[in-house]
Amino acid sequence: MLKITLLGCEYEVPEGITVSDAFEYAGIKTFHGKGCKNGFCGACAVLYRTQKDSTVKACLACQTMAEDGMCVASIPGFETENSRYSSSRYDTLLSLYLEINSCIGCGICTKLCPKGIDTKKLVNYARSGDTALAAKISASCIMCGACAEKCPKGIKPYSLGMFSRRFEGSKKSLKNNSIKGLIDKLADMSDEELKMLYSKSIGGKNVSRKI
Amino acid sequence: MYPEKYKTALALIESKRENNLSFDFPKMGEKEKEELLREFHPEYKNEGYSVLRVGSNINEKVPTELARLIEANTIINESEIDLSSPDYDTDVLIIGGGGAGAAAAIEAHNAGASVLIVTKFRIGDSNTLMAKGGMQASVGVDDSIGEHFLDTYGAGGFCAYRELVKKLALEAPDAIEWLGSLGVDFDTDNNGAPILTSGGGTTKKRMLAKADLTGLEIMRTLKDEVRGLGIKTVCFSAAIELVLDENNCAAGAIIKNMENGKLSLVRAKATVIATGGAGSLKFGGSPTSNHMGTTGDGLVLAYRAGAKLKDAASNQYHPTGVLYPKDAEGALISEKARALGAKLVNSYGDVFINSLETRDVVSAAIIREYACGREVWLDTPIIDKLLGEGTIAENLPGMKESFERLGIDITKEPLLVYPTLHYQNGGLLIDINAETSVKDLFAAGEVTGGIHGKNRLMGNSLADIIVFGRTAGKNAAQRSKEKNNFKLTLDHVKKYNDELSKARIISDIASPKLI
Repeated sequence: MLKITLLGCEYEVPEGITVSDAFEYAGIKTFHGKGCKNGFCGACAVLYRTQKDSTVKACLACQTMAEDGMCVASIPGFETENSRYSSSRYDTLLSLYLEINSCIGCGICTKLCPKGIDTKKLVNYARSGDTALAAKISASCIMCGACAEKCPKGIKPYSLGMFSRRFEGSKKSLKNNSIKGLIDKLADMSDEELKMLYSKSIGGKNVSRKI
Repeated sequence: MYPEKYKTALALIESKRENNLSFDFPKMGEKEKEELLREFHPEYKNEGYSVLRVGSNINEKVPTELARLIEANTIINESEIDLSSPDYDTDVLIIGGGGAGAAAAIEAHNAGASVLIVTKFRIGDSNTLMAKGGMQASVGVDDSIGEHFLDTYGAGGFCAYRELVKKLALEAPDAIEWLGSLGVDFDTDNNGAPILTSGGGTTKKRMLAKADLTGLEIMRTLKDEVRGLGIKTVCFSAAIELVLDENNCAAGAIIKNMENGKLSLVRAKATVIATGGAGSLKFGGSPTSNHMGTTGDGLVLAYRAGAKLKDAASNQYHPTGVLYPKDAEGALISEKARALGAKLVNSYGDVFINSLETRDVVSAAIIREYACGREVWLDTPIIDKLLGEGTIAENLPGMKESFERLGIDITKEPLLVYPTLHYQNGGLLIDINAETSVKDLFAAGEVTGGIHGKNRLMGNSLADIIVFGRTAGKNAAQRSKEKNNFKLTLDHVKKYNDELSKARIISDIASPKLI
């Protein structure tokens, strides 16, 4: 068993479980702080420090193993602002997110990212107009908002990443040039005819195999 | 790092890797597949299923866990609900904030309707953002809509509704164009053409992707659009009962705040159910790759209101769920790994199935290996050997990162796998307008049935939620313009409860399960 402080209270939990499971084991209702359990939804982002390292870091509770002496607090979850922007125009980024110019490069946002994204760089790229790189380095962003939590200048790196990705995506303009093929004919065939066609196109052979 | 007991298997797999590189296991014929499925696929076993005793699908079999919820008590007591003063009044109510719900909301809003989204968690917290490998659309130069149709219909065992499959194949390329216009950043080559890969059971390269984070990319973009458009969203609130009007058409829902338990009444001219699947019911004790919110709520709500189900007994087991380490059990390893060349091998290092057969067949073959006392491994290091160093880092960054945290380097070590409960193939029966058998009640996404038959192809779920989500949104908005002056009722709940007592069904649980 190991000792872990969850939301200010110490609990004993078994070794070898995730922080998310530690909450469950301790019987703490984590309705807000739980979701996909696969590290994608961002609902379980928490702040923590360990005995070995007293600096406060952020992680996804479902993707991090509980450690002895760990101290964990949940992040309430910051929703993005309801900004209506034209994702095809870069100048809307600068007018919407004016505070981007006041970045002092302290790097707290980068330390807090549970996905290990260099959000300080992301802010720099977005500010200098290199949205392609901003989109690239923020590809795995789960929009948990931890990066914006402690920014002394009120910058929201996750919103800048979102804008950059949409800006880059809009530029690609994938047009529908698809070929209809035999769709109308196929949709009118009998199941027997379709079964024949299907097994021919898949191209399998029946073999009796020893297992 | 794997424990000692796997050392022999790992050594054997490594020693045979070079040989396996160039070996393609032959594809099976239809008859052989059928026999394999019948003997080893969980769906063909009789235990674990119950026959429904009431409602539109009476005497049909569904998984026991689902049957219990369908035949459970209601959370509300319908005689205590005041239907005279709704808390929300809207044109279109959307239940569920995943990909299908968000797509429906955007289209309904753009068609001029007032929209309210109600979701059990936050908008976007869903299975959509866990979708990894890609989205199918026949946009390749050598591909066609006809071929997408045939692949999908065939893989589903020829029991899907053809007009739905046809619509899916026809409109998937439009869906890509639409997502692109919203700023979804699909991977493209230097000429701006989308990079396409194959999936199990596709005869052409048809999968568009954003690395192995396709669902995340789509979902966060849809969410950003929903919020940007100012669409009203009520989070952490679940629908617990539908309300109908005097003509038995859908007219809104009763919702429950998950935090304080407070009930609210939503009056709506048209309602869209987009609640997703039922993986968290863990049929037969199976591990699942699903979000914890997938408790089949939409099926229960709509069934009580009289909606019909289609293929509700059919569930997909994804072949490559994680078996080790234990913390990640049931989590998904994207099919994209196999599309890129990773092979399934047993503990002797032997390939026993073509990795790109359809999911039902691959899962059955894996279960057969375990039944014969052999573990199954997904040999991921093959990818870099086949396509060059760095391919994994470039194409499967999400997966590489997840396993690094668990102490496994997928570029050097294979992964121990077992099939995991992944997708509900059937669900609420819809027509090509995405309307259920209850009027003014639309449905889209995993909660529906009839599109994928008894087995879904990789990448067709993302295509499904966008194509049918948009359809449901547009048609619900249109319908709301034609509807005025209706009275709310919960008579259907009373009627359903009477049916339960007539069938002498006594339940000790209430549904929908919610969590």
